[in-house]
Formats: sequence, C-alpha cells, structure tokens
Amino acid sequence: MSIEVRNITKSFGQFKALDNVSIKINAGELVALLGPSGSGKTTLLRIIAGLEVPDPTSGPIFFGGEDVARRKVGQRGVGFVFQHYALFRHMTVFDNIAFGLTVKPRKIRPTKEQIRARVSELLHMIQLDNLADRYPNQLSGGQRQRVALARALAVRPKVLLLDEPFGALDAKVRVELRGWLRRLHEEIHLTSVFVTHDQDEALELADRVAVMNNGHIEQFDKPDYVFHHPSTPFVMNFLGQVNQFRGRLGRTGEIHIGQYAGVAEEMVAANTSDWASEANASFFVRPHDLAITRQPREGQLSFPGTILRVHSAGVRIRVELQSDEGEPMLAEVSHARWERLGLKAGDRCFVTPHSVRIFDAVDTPAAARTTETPKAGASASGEEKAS
Amino acid sequence: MSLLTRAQKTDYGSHFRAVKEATTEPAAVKWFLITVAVLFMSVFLLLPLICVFYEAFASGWELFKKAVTDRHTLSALKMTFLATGITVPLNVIFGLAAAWCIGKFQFVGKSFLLSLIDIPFAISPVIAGLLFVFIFGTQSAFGQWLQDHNIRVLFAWPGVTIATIFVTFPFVVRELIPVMQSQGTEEEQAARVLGARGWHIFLRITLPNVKWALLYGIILCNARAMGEFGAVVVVAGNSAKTNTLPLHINALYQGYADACAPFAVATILAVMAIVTLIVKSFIEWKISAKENRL
Repeated sequence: MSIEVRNITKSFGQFKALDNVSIKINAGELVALLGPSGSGKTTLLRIIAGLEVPDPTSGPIFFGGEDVARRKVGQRGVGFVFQHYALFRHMTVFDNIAFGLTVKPRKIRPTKEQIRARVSELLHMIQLDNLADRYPNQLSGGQRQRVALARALAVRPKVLLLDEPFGALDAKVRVELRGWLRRLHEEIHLTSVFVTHDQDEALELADRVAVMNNGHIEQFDKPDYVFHHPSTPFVMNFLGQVNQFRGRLGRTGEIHIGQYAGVAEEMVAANTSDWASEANASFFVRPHDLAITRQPREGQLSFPGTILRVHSAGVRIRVELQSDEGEPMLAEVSHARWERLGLKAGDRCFVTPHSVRIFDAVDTPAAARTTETPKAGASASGEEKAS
Repeated sequence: MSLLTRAQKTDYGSHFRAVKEATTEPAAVKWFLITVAVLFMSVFLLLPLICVFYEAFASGWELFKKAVTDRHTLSALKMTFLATGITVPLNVIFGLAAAWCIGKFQFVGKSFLLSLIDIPFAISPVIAGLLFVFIFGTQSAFGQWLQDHNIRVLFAWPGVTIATIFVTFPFVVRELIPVMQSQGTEEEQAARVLGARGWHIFLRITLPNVKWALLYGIILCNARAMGEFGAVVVVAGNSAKTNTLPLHINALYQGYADACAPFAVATILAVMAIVTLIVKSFIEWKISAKENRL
C-alpha cells in the first residue's frame, strides 16, 4: 500500500520540526528517512503512524488513496518498531507477539489456535522458535529487535514503520540484522519506512532514500543517485566527507581560489546557465577527487598545502592537509600511489581537484547552510602567499 | 606436577587474600561498627517490642485474654479495620491516577501538584485533624449543612476515615511515580499502535509493570493507616465508640484498667506490624530478584 503525505508541518513551541513536507512512497517500497538528529525524520515517521498530530494547516495523509489523517493510531493498520524495542517487559516473547491479536475486538479476534499458529509462524520467521517462553530481559539486543518486528507484523499491517531500528545495537549485529531485514522485505514486500542517521545503513538497505535537514526533505532518490548526484550541498556533506572551497567562477568555467586559477577535469553544476556570469561560488570536492602531487599540474587548478597527518590503517590512505591559509583539507589516495609519491607528514605538496561540484554559482544561503553541519568541510579561499 | 599445582593454588589464594584485605576495614573497626549498630537496634527497636509482649503477659494469660476480647477492644479493632479498609482502596485509586498523570504526562503545574501530594508528610497530623474539625464542625457552613441533614462526620467513623485518608495518601503515589517515570510511555505507545484501547492498555501494560511498587505502597499505606493516632484523636472525640486501636490503647493506659491491658491490646497492633514487615520484606525480595534478572 502506498503512502503519501502532503504539506505536513509540525511545530513544537517555536521550533518547526517539519516545514511543509510532502513525500510519496510507492507500494512495496523500502524507504529510508536519513538525516542528522533534529532534522525531523522521526517526527515525520510518527506523524505517518499517528503517534504525533501535525499542525492543523497540514495536508492529508494517504494510505493507498485513502486519507487516514483523522484516524487514530490504532485504526491506521501500521506496524511500528520502536528504537528501544518497547517490548512488554512482563510478558513472554509469545505473549508479546500475540498482543496485537489478543486485543482485537471480540468479533474479529482470531481463536486461540489461530493466534498460536500465527505466533509460531512469526517465531519461525525471526528464527527464535525455541525462545517463545523467554522474557524480553533474557534476550540479546538483536533478538529483542526481531521480537519487536514480529510483534508489529503479527496484526498484518498495511505499512511497516521503523524508528532507528538498529540504533541501539552494536556494529556487527547491526550489519547482520540489516541484511536480514532486506531479505525479509524482499519476501513479504510490505511498504516500509525506516528512520536512520547512518548513511551506510540507508544506502545499503533502502530502495529510495529521503535525505532530511532542518525539517525539509533535501533530496529523495535511489541510493546510487543520491550518492553520486547530490542535489544540495547538505546532501553531499551528509553522505560522506567533502572539502569545501570558497572562490570565484570565471566566464569560461575556470575556478579562481585566491590567486590560483585553472580548470578541473570534471565540473558538475546544478545549473549550467549560471556559468556564463562571473560569480562567487563554493566548490565541493570529495576526498578521493583531491589528488596530491609534488608539482602543480599545468593548466589545471593546483594549489600548495602542507601534510599534517597520514592515516594508513584502511583500504585507502587518508591524508590530512592544511592550506597556506590554515584551512584543513582531506584527501584519499591508494597505497600504491602514496608509495610512489614518497611524501610524509610535514612535507609540502600540491593538491589538484579532479572533480568539482557546484550547486549554485552564486554564494547563496544554501551553500552557507552546509557550514552549519561541518563534517569535513574545508575552505581555502583568498590565498595570498606564493609557494 | 602436583607440587606445581599446589604452588599455584597457594599463590592464587594469597593473591585473593591480599585483594580482600586491601578493600576491607581492619577487624577492630568492623566489630566496633557492628556492635554499635546492634546495640542501638536492640535498645531502640527490639527492647520496646519485647517489653510490650512481656508486660502483656506479666499478669497471666487470663488477664491478657480478657483485655484482648473486651467489648471495647473488639469495637476498636472493628473501627481500625473499617477505616483502613476504606482508606487503602481509595488511596490506591487516587495514587494510581495521580502517579499515572504525573509519571506519564507533561503539563503545567506538575511540580505544584507534587508538592500538594507531599503536604500530609510535611504537616503535623494533629493540625490535619484540627483542619477537619474546622471543615466539618458546626462553626462552618458546610458543617451546619451536614448537621441539618443529620449527617455525622466528626466524632463518628466518617471523620476517622477521612483523617486517615488524609494522613496516608502520599504513600501509594510516592511509590508509583518514580517507577512510572523510569518506565516511560513507549510500551503504552506500542500497545496503542497494536490497536489496544485506553482501559486495555492500563490493565494489561501499565498496571502489571507497576505491580510490585503498588503492593509496596499498599503495605506502607496500610501500616500507617492502622497505626495513625494524631489526626484521628482530634476528629474521633472522646467516645469509646469511635476509638481505633491506637486510641483505645491510649485510653486504657490513661484509664484505670488492669496494668497489662494496654500492653495486651498493643500486642495486636504489634503483631499486625510484624506481619506487615514480613510481607514488605517478601515484596522487596521479589523486586530485587526481578531486577537481578534484568
């Protein structure tokens, strides 16, 4: 069953948790709401569930074409998995899973045998067949999470909503459960929405990812597309580390950063028509698109820097640098390339951006917004000293 | 080989001893502290209790039996049971409602409500008794109205009960609030999403989760209700009909009864207190066993 919300706004006092948000989720899709804390992702999930009431100015909430905005949470037919499981601590695993069935009005309540059969089926699905008589506090975190999921599925909900489903688990269990949830979704094809602040989780698990920030949805696309074609600086920043340089964009597409100028091999802009005008701009470069060389590259934008630290424990070597203005930069190179360069911490070198992304030729508040959530944002503007 | 293992064993032994010695007080300090504690408990707690039982039986079994089965004693026992029997259920209902709303919801005036609940702890029971005399006495309009309609509150069982309720009402709610607050509302929300309705959620989720705290509160409330003196003595007046057990004991002690009579009646209260203590320890043991399982 598809889910569609239109123009949802939610304020908590002065704070706007959601500001006019609309989203349409197709039937059978697994969608991630991804964003930092305070971005409104959990609020949106709870509004879809009916656990939170949006502001009166908000639009409708459709489940498969039917407006459920006026319906109470118990009547919406949603399965909800809470971040901290919220299992009933005084009930066994069996009773927890059976709860939703046993509280149905007498007329539509299944018989004892039917309930038993349904619970056994779910216990089998979550691979906890022999733990039916345990209490929640006798289970591990991963087991509790699976019981919470089975409990939500017992009533055959139309949509499944998960709030930070793996947030309270340790890294290894998290990855295991992720794969398990993905396979489960492929089996039952229930329209599902989950909230997460972990970009790996969102990109690996979801069919589509909605990246949220400050109560807005910044971008809603397939994981691959969101990662490779971020539509705002925020999305680029949130889905991995990025260097940010302030400078000027020339008429012919050359980049001016301080006294250094030149073109980059690849340049992607949100709006190419803006290239014509000479304007101040922010340039975004992923660490793996920032090449380190001993000499400046002819005809390309290259500027000097100093190597601060080298992290070599990993698949690729991560190099922390500093521009002559003291701005931090981050580059990623392969082990082979690093050996050939023969550089070490403290050495001088040149950096050359290969692929540069511009979101708005003019320095707009959109670009400024990314600086509020710095991850690896680094700017090197107005360089004056020669190397 | 065997030498080696023995050597290792001794080694570990001395190691453990060393650790133990490093973290405990010297024996002299230990015994001194224990002696002080035991002496204090004996003089202030155990000795009076033994005295009560000793005095009660000092003049022989017959006199004890006479005092305990006396008409006035039985009437006082009945009054105590009546007042306690009404007080405890009412305070349970009130306590659950108040703790639920304080523990699970955010609203303006919450801390004010909390301080209101603590008033009976803060003010002297005698003042509470006087308060009710003012409210229900004939000098107030309400008291006048009650008298016109021939309803007796003061110097009758309703007055005794109301005073007992007032004095004991923080007990249940004070036990429940921290438990409800720490448990939060997620389980209730989960039940609501699963389609459970308000009353169902309360009976199947909220109530079982606070079961032991509630029982503990009931025990404390019950103990205090049976033993309350100050507030009750003001509203009960000076009649044998409205005496509760503590009042009756006082009357016997002040009056011309047998010397053993007040002590004999006091043993009834003492036994009830001991039973309460045993039940309380059992519940505490249950709670800690439950927490250890977590």
